[in-house]
Amino acid sequence: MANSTYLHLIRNLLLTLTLGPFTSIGHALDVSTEFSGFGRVVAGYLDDSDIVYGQYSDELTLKPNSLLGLQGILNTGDKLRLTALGLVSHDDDWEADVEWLYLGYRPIKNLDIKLGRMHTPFFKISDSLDVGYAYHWILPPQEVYRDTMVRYFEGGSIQYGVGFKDLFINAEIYSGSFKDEVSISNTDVDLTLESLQGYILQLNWQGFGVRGSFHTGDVQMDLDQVATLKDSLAQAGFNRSAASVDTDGNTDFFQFGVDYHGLEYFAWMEWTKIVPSQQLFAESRGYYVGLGHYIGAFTVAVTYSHLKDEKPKPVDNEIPTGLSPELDFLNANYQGLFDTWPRSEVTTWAFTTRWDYNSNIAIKGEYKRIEESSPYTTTFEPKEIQSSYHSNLFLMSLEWVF
Amino acid sequence: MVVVNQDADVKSLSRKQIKRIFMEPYSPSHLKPVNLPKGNKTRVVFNTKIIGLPESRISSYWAQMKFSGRGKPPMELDSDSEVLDLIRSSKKHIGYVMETSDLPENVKPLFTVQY
Repeated sequence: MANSTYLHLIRNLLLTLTLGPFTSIGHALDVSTEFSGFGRVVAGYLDDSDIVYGQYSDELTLKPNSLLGLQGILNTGDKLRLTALGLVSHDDDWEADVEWLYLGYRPIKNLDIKLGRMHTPFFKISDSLDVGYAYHWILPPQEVYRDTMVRYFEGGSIQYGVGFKDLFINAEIYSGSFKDEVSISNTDVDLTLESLQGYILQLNWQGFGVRGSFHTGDVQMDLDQVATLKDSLAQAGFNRSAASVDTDGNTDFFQFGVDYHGLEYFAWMEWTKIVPSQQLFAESRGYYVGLGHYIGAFTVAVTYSHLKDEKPKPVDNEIPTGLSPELDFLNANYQGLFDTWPRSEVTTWAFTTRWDYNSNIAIKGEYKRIEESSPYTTTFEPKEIQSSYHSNLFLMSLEWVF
Repeated sequence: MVVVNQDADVKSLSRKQIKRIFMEPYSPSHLKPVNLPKGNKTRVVFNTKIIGLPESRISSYWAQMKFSGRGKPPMELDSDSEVLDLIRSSKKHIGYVMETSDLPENVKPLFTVQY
C-alpha cells in the first residue's frame, strides 16, 4: 500500500468516526482521538572539504535530520486503538511518509498486542529515534544507530510488562518482514528482509535499566555488480567462490545496553553485533559509553563510540592463476571485491549540551570528533581514497514536542 | 504531601510505590496519578523527593513513552485546590499538594515528604 494511501485512509477514518455521519456510532463505541507531534530543526557543518559525513559537508545544511512528525491515535474504549505516525523530513524534500500505522489491542493492562507497520525495536531508543526531544544527543552514535539498520517492519508484536516491588520487567517478541530501498555505503540498494523475528527483555530497577535483545532475519539484497561476478564464477565452475559472494542469507543481530538515570547524573552504554551468514559481509561490532550531568535546565554529556567491521575473507586457492588472462582477470575481480569491500573502523568522541527552554522545547549543541582508520570507509564519502580520515562535525538543533 | 480520597482502597504507600504509580504505564495500582503543572514549586519538590529525576528527564521519558505507544503522562491540574477537589470526589485518583495545605474532610494524606 503506497504511503499516500495510508495517509488518506488515516484521515478519512479519523474524520468519519469523529465528525462524520457515523458520529453516533463513534460515541456508542466510546471512540476518542488524540493528536500529538514532534519536530526538530538540525543544522550541521563538517570542517573538511574532501569528505561528506551522513550528508553533512563543509556547507552549513539543515538536511538530513530536520523533520516534523504528527501522531494520531484513535481509541475505542480502553483496549483497542489505531495509531499512525506521519513524517515529513527535509531529507525527503518534505514529502510526507507514514512511519508507522498499527492496530493496538490491550486486553489486560500489562499486555499489548500490535499489528501493522512499526519501528523495528533493534535498539534502546528505536521507537523514539525521530523524537530528538526524547534524548540528549543531536545525532545518536552512528557507530550503533547505523543508517543501514532497517527502521521499520510490517508484522506483529506482543509486549508484556510486570512489576515486582522495585523491579519492572518488560518482554517483547515480534515477527514480520521488510521490503524497501536502503542506503548502504552511500548507495541505494533494494533490500528484502523475510522471516524477521526478535526477542527483547528489559529490566528496570531503581534508576538502572538493562536491555538485551536478539534479532534474526533472511536478507535478500540486489547488488548488480556482485551478481554479475557471482554468475561468472558459477559459470566457470568455481562454486565455492560463487557461493562466497552470494548476498542473500540469514543475519543475526545482538544488542545489549545498560543505563542509569539519577537526579544529577546519568550514564548509558549500548553494544551491538551483526553476524551475517554471507561471507562477503563479515561481522560488525559497535558500542558507545556515555556520561551526563544535569545542571538545572542544562544537560551536559560526553559519549565515546567505536565501530569495527571485520574484513571479509575470500575463498583461498579455488581460482587458478597464471593459466590464462581470463582466469587472472576473474581472480583479480574476485580478490579485489573482498579487498575493497566497504568497511569501517571508526572512533568518535561527542560532547553535547542541552538547554530545556521549557517543558516542550529544548535547544542542543553537539561537537563530534570522528576518526576513521579504514580506507574503504562506510562512515565518510571521500573524494579520494585515503589511508585514514578524521573530521570535526558541529551541530545545533531546536527540538520540540506538542 | 501525597493525598487520596478517604474511602480509597489504600492505607499507605511507600515512596517507591508512589513513584511507580506516577512513572510506570503498567503500574499494578488502580490509582490514577494527577500532576500539578510543570514549574509548580510543589511539583519540583515532588520530582526531587519522590521521583528522583529532574523535570527535563521526566519530560524526555514521557516523550519516549508517548511516541512509542507505551504510555502517556499523568493528567495535570492547575492548582492544589483543583487537585483536592478531584481527590475529594474520586476514590480512583492520587495527587500531591503543598504540605501546609488544609485537607478537606474526604481527603487523607498517604505520604509526607521529609525535608
